[in-house]
Amino acid sequence: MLTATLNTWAATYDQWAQSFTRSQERMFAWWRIVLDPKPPVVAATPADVVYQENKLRLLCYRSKTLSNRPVPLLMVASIINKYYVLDLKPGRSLVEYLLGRGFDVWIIDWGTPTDEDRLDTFDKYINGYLARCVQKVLDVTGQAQLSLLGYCIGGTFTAIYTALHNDQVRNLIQLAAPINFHDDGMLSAWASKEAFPVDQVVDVFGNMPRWLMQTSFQWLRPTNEIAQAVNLWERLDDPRKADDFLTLRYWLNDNIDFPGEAYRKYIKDCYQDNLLVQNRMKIDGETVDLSRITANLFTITAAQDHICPPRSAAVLNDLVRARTSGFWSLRAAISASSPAVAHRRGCGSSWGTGWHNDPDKRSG
Amino acid sequence: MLEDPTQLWKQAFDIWEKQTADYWDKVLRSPQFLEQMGKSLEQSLAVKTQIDKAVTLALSSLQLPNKRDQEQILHKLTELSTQVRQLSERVDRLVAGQG
Repeated sequence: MLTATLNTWAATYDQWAQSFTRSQERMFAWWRIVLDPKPPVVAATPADVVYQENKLRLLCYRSKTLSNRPVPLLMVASIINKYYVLDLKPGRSLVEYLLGRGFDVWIIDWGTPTDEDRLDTFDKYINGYLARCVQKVLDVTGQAQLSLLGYCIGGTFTAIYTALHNDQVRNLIQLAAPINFHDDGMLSAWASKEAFPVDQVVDVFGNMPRWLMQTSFQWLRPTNEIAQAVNLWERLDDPRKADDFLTLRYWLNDNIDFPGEAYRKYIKDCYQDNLLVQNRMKIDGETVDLSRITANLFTITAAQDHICPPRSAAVLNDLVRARTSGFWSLRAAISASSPAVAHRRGCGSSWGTGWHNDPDKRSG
Repeated sequence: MLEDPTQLWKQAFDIWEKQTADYWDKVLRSPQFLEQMGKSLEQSLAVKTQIDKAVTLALSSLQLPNKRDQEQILHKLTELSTQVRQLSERVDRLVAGQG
């Protein structure tokens, strides 16, 4: 009896001692981060700038692997975040993953808008910037069609673009891309006509300021900052995990302003009137009819996405007339602002399944 | 065997975090909050609008361009630059086609 009690106490003491040692290591790691903060290494994969217009850059990443993949892949990043989430850091990069599998990858870096860019319209982003980048990729590669991957608002852009220029797009990959804006998400409620005077905001600020967007994202889940601090604490005894976490945090806080006129139309047509999902949105006078999309479609969402709830993105699969379509919902607690693309087992592994090579594959 | 205190703390934290987040979710979606948010945003923007108008008036009385004038000029320049580049590329393609 006594021996058993002593053994229990000894085991408990050992466990507490280990826990104390781990906490001590975490505390030292914490102080190293606080006293000697180093900017993370991001966007490390070498790229050529193939085209430039205003602040926009079209980047080309050439695969060194021998491949037989003629259809070029153009990634369209979100307009409110930096593009480098698609190439976050070595070992956590969708671009690196795809290059290793023989894809040549193209990315649109929207750049950082300045005050005069408030006059850039939503239509100009679709039929101007995006259209010229698509044409450039097709010209350089000599192909008639390409694959488009849209992330977050970039995904809304790619869906609209494909509906308008279906003949240029062979495959459409949507990653956390909102289509139905009247969902059960918080942003949908906050952007309503009663709660958000978008005209006044744009008239006063010009561009939608990054600090205002960042504040609203933080209030989507007010406890998130504390939860993030606890998450960091748990990772501090593993330098690699801690670095992954800090790099993603760095990107999350590296927001950019949303050009004013484009923002006005985005909020009014998408969030307030929800025209896109009803096939009533107009770009340069032409109606965006999502049923015109016949490109192969693959939609990826995240179950706990606060910015783009899964239903908001998944609806696209029901609206298009795609040759083949797929749907994949990640269960991880990631969101449009904390994306799957940076996760080692995130959307990169969907390429591993060979979805894009198999015309008969259909799911969801 | 007694449980690891850090694990106990983490479990307690997770419960607190979820309950607090759920509570805020209800508050931040409520019609009362949305109405107040809209009103306070409109009021703050109205103050800034008045300040901006006063600055614009002062600048124009001094025959100086204001921020919006400068933005429009810069935007026009950017558009012109894009058009020149597009024309140049078109000419290059035509020349290449003839050669």
